[in-house]
Amino acid sequence: MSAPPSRTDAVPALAADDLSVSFGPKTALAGVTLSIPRGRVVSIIGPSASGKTTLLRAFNRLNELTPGAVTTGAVRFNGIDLHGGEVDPVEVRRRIGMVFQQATVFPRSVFDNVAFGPRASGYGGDLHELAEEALTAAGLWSEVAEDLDAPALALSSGQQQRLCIARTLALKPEVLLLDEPTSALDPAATARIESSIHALKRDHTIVLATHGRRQAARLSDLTAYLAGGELVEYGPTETLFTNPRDPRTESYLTGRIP
Amino acid sequence: MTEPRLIRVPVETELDRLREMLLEMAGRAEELVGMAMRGLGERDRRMTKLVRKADDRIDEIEVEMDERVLELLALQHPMAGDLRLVFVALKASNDIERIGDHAVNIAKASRRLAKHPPLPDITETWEMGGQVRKMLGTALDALVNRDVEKARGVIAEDRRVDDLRRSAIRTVVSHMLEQPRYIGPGLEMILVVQNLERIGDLATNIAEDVVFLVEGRSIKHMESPW
Repeated sequence: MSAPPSRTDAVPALAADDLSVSFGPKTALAGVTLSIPRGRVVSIIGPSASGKTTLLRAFNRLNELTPGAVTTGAVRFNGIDLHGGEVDPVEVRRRIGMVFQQATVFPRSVFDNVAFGPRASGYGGDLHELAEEALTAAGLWSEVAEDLDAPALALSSGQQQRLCIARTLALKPEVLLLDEPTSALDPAATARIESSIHALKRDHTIVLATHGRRQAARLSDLTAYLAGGELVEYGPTETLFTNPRDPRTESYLTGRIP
Repeated sequence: MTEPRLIRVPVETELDRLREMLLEMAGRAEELVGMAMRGLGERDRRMTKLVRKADDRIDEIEVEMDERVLELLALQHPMAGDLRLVFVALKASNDIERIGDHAVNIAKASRRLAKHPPLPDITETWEMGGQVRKMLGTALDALVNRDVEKARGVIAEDRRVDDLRRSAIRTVVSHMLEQPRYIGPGLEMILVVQNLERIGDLATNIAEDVVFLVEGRSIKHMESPW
């Protein structure tokens, strides 16, 4: 984990293989196959209800917490089938961390928020050191270092979202799943989160679900376009945004409503 | 993209405007080349003024194009095919503006030529003039209608222009060698021919941009563009 991930690694960090997810009668994902290379930022774009969040949640087995969810196909993490018998879902969610659309800080101090996960998993090292590291990586350290005991709820919404990223980072995940992390934030707060994502790319694989086409263009190496639960197109971000192959991607990117 | 849609997005109106501006520019540039060639044929020195005036309008549209494109990029954030169109429109407007400048150069050379004893007719120049005007018109038509076949036709025609240039220069030089009094007008005529050839190249640039616009790949600097 300390060495930067190799870009030429043949086994992708995450891979979905003919992945379908349905909730009762509703199909959320239909036969999606894609791989997320290690050390890259991959954006998942698409209209509402296109399956972005479901795909993200499939990557750390969160869908199974929803009653009635049925998953078929495979999800692999570092080549290992996530639904295999010996796989511990709690460990999956530690190594594949997730940050949600709404910042959900605990009504505790800033420090306690970051220390929460490591404490719960019996971390034996220096919690202060770990908190500083996580808060620095999330781009929040300089703003909270003076008063780590301040209540987390007193932070601005942008700071709360970065605190959520720090809380996830404190568990030393390999992959970060970000579900619309800036949709509730103003441009300045968005820019800070985006610059954190840029910095995190060095040591993490990042999957970002976003409504913001421009955000996907700014941040990601690869972009996947989902529509109606299907993977329409997946490729290098610069190609997708300048010369998409599929007319459905073209219509979505240019804002033409079919 | 083929079915009619209920909702027209604002960027479409803006893109239509860019296309209209390009058509106006190209129409004027074509006319300008025509005027310059007429001035050359009729040894009409007044034509230079007219050509310059018409070129000023092209320059104005080019400046307007720059402003509109900048505004469109800042406000509409075009993507995919829209982005390629904006990019190509900006480049084409720049190319058309240069074509206007070359027409002015031809008009200026013609005015100086009119002060010299007339050269024997260099027939290639007339064919070149007609050819490059046609190429420019077709390239713009291809741009507006996203017609790759037409664009490729323009690219192929540029070889003919290059051949004509070589042949014209050979003829002029042979006159210059025979008669020292033809040296002055011969040099001016070579300038005319070189400017015509550049106009052909610029029309070819526009045609290459059409292929990029439609197919999303650059065919510039390729030996065989298809």
